[in-house]
Amino acid sequence: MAGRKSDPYRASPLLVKVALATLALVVAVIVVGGGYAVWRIYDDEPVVYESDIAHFKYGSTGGERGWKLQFGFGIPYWLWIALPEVAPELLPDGKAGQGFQAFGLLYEDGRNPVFDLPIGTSLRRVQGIDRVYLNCAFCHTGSVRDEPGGERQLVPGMPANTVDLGAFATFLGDAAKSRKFRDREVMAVIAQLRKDREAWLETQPDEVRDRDWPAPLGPVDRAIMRWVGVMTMRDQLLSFMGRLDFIDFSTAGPGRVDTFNSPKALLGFNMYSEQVDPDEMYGNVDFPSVWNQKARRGMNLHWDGNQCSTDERNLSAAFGTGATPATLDKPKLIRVANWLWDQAQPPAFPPQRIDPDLAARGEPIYRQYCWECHGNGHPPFREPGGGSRVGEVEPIDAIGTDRGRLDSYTPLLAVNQNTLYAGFPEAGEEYCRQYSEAICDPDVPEAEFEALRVEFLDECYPARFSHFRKTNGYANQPLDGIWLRAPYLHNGSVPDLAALLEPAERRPTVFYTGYDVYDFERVGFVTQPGQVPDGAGWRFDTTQPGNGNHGHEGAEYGTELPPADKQALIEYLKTF
Amino acid sequence: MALQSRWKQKLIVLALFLVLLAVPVAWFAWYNFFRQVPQPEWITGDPEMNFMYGSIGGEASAGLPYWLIVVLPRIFGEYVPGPGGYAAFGVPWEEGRELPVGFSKKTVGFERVGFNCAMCHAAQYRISEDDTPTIVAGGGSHTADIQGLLEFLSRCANDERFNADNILAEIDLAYRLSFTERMMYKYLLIPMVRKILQQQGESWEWTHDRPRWGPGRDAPMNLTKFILLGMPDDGTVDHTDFPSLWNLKTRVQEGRVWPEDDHSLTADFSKLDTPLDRLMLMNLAGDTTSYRSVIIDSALGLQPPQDVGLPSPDPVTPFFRQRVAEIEEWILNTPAPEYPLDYDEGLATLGSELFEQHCAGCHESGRDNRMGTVIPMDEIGTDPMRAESWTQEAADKANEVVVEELGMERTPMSKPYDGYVALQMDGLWLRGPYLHNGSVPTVRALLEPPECRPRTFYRGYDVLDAQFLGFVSLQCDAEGNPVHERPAHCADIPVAGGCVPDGKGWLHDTREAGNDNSGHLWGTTLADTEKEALVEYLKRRDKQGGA
Repeated sequence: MAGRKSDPYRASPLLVKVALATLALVVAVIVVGGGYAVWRIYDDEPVVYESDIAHFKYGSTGGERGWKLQFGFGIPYWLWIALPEVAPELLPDGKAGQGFQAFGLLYEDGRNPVFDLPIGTSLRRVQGIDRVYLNCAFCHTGSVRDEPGGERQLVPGMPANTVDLGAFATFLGDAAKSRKFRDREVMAVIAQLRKDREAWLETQPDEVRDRDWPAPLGPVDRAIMRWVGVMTMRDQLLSFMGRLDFIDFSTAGPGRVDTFNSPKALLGFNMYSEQVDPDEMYGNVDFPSVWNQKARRGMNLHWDGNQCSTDERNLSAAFGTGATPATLDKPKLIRVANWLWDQAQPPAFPPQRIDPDLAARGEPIYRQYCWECHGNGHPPFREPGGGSRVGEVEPIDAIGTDRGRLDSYTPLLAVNQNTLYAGFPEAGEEYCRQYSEAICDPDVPEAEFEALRVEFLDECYPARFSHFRKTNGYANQPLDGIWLRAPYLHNGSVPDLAALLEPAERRPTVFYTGYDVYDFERVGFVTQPGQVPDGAGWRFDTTQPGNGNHGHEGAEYGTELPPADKQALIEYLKTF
Repeated sequence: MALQSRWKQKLIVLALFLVLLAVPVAWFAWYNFFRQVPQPEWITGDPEMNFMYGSIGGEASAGLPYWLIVVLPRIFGEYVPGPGGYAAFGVPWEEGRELPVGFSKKTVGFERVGFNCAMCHAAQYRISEDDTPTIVAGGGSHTADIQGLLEFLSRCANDERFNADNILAEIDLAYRLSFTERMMYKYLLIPMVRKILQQQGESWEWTHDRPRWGPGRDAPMNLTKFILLGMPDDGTVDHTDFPSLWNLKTRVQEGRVWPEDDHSLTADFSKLDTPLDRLMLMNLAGDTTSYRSVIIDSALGLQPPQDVGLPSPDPVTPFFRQRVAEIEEWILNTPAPEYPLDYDEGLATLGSELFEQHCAGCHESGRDNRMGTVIPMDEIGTDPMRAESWTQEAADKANEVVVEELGMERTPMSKPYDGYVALQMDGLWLRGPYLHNGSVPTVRALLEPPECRPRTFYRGYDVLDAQFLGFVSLQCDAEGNPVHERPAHCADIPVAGGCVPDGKGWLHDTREAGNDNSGHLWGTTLADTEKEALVEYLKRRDKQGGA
């Protein structure tokens, strides 16, 4: 009794209980909330595929995720599928309900373009949100059909002949700028899509229902998306596309990209400065095929032969999938690299459409006119001491093709790329040097190289970029699967082999790309104005800068052969 | 009694605790701020690589954090004079290398980047536009825009975007910093460097009123006076081409140089046997008595003092001394690069006789002639500003600062009399433009009277002028002929070849202060064919190692 008023440590038991209970509640909230936050922040789960081909088509390279202050390139799945529905008027054909098909993205048979992901995109749950971004297959999986309306053959490793990356990028930027890209509007579309997907899944067989569908947004996620996610994504898209603003994406068309102008953005180059050479802005080239990488070891890679290491080339290309040094998923990229190394092969030209006798007549012609630069038709393309220049750079004055791509890769860009993957092991130094030299030396025997690779891959990959060089021509490429690599020349300016064997003035000036129906006689896709249905192709104008179709012509290049010889040569090339 | 010992115990425990705590803290501080890691073997084991990329010991006091150097051009691309990172400033950059020539990366606690001699003393050239540049260590850079590069750093620091958030966001695209590194950058390095660079920017005030240096040049004496010595701005202009450093051995004849062991604080020339006008002095105006002093003072100039409230480490360390000795050894013995193109043998033979007759008195090596001595101003007649910018007062002050304050003994800086040193004719093909201020684009142009030399031309374009010795320096008209306006009485023959493409190069205007191209009239009265022969001879001479 005496202590009650003067002793502060003996306050009312009720007050104490309430205080303790409140404290306990606060602590619990902090612990639980904190634990949840920690779990979410560190959550990182890509979808894992059993087959290497599926991994190539849909596997993640790490680009979805961010690191520390980086939000990452990954677009939340629900936002991804909402984009074509939010602003369909910005799509090439203005039609909603088809996902991204209008950009030539490939949805496999049985997949719903509204809810499924196309080939070339990957799904990864990062920080509790399922996010989508591009992977290697986006630019390196193509489509071919026998006839209009015929069954499509989707070919991993083939140049993505139907994909209009430029239009797709433009759409992302335009959608972000659109008035409709706001939290309420987007959330409303997402809510509708959720219902629609539920309804659609009910009509589907088990095997479709059982696929790894990203879950509908829970209450926490909905709140995050509504209050933060949508606008953050908008910001992200705007700033990313802003960095690329100096590139005119409308000039590429399906199957092409300006490879080395984007890295200039990555390095923060001021592309509006007066010092920018106008000649460096026209670098549009065909997506290349990526099969048979093992047989390409040590060749000068990329159209202008600026790179000799397949490792470094893969890492450089991986930037396009959002994988930066901080976010790269190394094992996943290596899995892709391993598949491309010696598993990925081009499909054969339909044998029933090859005349074996004619093809046999073509072989010596190939040997005389083509082999010296292009090597063998199947791996190994090159024989040690064999005498072909396959993989070597042909000086521009000799090959005479369009300079646009060559000039887009500047000497200043080449040296600045040496700062990429800085902080990683030095390829040229002591420990890693042996491996770094072997990967660029085609004369190192296979077995020896494979042993080195096993020994050094862990510690010496990735390594700081150190192999980029400025060249002065275009590299002679092996012709494996050449039938699926149309149109031809680095900039895709010659539609088919028949045209390539004509001098430039007889090659088509204007033709249409992106149509996947094949012309088995001329060996290339159907590209002629009358034969490509309206809206199915993109008008390729060879008079535009960077699109020149001259070069690779003259007696040495077979353009002066008699027609019968040209036929035989083309027939022989069908066997590659 | 018991109470006292209880206090003592507590005190002892506390003391022990603090000591124990101090150990990891001290280790942490040493590891992250002071620990020196030698550079890799490929740099330190090769004298040429060491010259190009080796540390000269400045990282501890003047090095910038490595990741900051990497990302600054990416964030502030608009302050870079073109799409090319540091390469856009004309600093040579070997293919495959992590950093340009002249940038030394060294770990002192954390990774830092300092600048070394090669930043100004590595020359790059191409034979044609399509070549990959060849880089010659020890040359005088023709392309490096050092003023632009240093201004770039201050402009970044003065920009609002220079803060931890932006910088870390850009670094995060490139590398996963550890927690410690991140905290260091965020709370310490970025704010400190910002302040340092802003201060450095202020210390450049004196350059704003003066003509720009342009690529391949700097203001060596003013940099020394105003920054290293803290002297007040005296309005002088001292633009100087970066000189080549090779073949130093032949520049120093016994008996004609200041004794190396005489470290007087002021140069009293009267106590030497050799008269002043026969003495072989260093720097383009004879401002130093020995090459070693040049190396020391130049190297110290790459480590400017800063004032951020922290103790600045002493730049004169045993490592610094060692590097000075190594650099000295290398440039004493490195030969001049061989001329890569052809020459006319017949003309060259005629030219050798003409050289003997008209030039050897000042320019032939290995003789008891005027090579290496200061030719008085009224005789040489070239732009006087560079010579006038250096005074006895400045020389004495430099000796005081370097020798007394910094503790680096060396022979004294001096001021003999106004004039310029007669240089060796070695590697001349890579030393364009000519005269101390680089005001004459080709050797052939130098053989014309001053009013007939190009009044304006372009520096910084690195393709060799295959005919006239120097770099391609003039723009061309629509027909592809170099444009060279001159008075009617001048011989209408070309003295500079090739075409500088649009947008390349920096315009050197000889009418600007410090850029004047008058003087050095020797040879200007020869016949055209004789002048041509002289040029061919100088090419042949460079095929044989020059001096």
